[in-house]
Amino acid sequence: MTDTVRLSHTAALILKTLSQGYSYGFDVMEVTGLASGTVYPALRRMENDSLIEGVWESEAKALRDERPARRYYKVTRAGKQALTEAEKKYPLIASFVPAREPAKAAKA
Amino acid sequence: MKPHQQLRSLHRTLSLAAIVVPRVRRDLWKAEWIAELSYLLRTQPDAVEGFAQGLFADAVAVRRASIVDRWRNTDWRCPELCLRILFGLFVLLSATGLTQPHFRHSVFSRWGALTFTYFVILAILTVPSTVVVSRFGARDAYEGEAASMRQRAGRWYFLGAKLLLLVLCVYLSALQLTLPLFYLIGLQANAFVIICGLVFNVVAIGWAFRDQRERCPSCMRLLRSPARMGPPSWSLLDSNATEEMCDRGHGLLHQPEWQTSWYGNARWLQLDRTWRELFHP
Repeated sequence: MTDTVRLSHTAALILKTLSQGYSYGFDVMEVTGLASGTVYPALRRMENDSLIEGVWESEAKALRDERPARRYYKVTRAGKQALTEAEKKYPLIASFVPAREPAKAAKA
Repeated sequence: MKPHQQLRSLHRTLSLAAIVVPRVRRDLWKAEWIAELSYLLRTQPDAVEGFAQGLFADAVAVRRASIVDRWRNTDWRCPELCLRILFGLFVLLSATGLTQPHFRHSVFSRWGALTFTYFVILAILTVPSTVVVSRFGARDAYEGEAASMRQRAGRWYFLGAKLLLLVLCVYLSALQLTLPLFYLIGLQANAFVIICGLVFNVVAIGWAFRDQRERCPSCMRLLRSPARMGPPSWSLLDSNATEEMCDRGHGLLHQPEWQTSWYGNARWLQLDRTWRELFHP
């Protein structure tokens, strides 16, 4: 596809992490080992390019856990397309990101 | 570091970084970071310091994205922007010039007032020469249904404001350029200001008229998409020209390459409302 956004290795890694079910900025940092100064600006850029979508967690859930509501991110259809293209370019990217355990994913 | 000291330090860092973030996005940006930091404080308090280092990088990224968006969404063809740029230039030239004592003296002295008067007279005398140099305007754009009375008044106001700002900018640039001469020969350098002004005025006022003619008479936006009509060999028996259009669909400007006895001026073809839906709002 000609209109797919080209991703850098770091951006592709972050997108792959989000596609595996890790949905918070800090989760992405922990899995990829990237610094917060890299992850958050990349998340903003990808949200600007509509590759990911940021959604605020429900207040009720946050209140139950006694903490402020967090913003979580999920990959959009355009993001999935871009990731497919990026995986062709960086075939080893999947090996860097472990799949999320179902129990943890359900908890999040 | 004690927990309350750590919290205070984090709060200070967050507040400082938030200043960089554009105001419209600041609250949401802070809310996201507060949520992440408080989560981290509960789970991994030792990692908070390292994590908070990303605050400034993220704030700068948000600011940069907002600047890029603003740049992309700027309407470069609108008349207000043209006036704003000229006004900005005027402020810049004044601010840089007024720091120099000789500049201040030559602007505010009796000699300076006299030079400025000559300068304005020179600018007025320049007008006929620039009319000859620049292309002929479309007379029909100034008549008939091309624009309402309000739009016509707006066009004259725009031209007047543009010329005023240009003459002031040209005067200040001529002063800045001849400033070294003031150190050498004193107020006699005002003569060079006038000579510089003669050249600058021809260029600036010529541009002002050319720019005015290349704008849509209805909305005063710059015309776009110039298209050559006919090969140059047509100039003997027919007319070859360039056509430009208003991106709001108000009309087309047909500008002949050569001024001939049968096709002297440019022509403005006003399009009716039915065409508008093909163009951007």
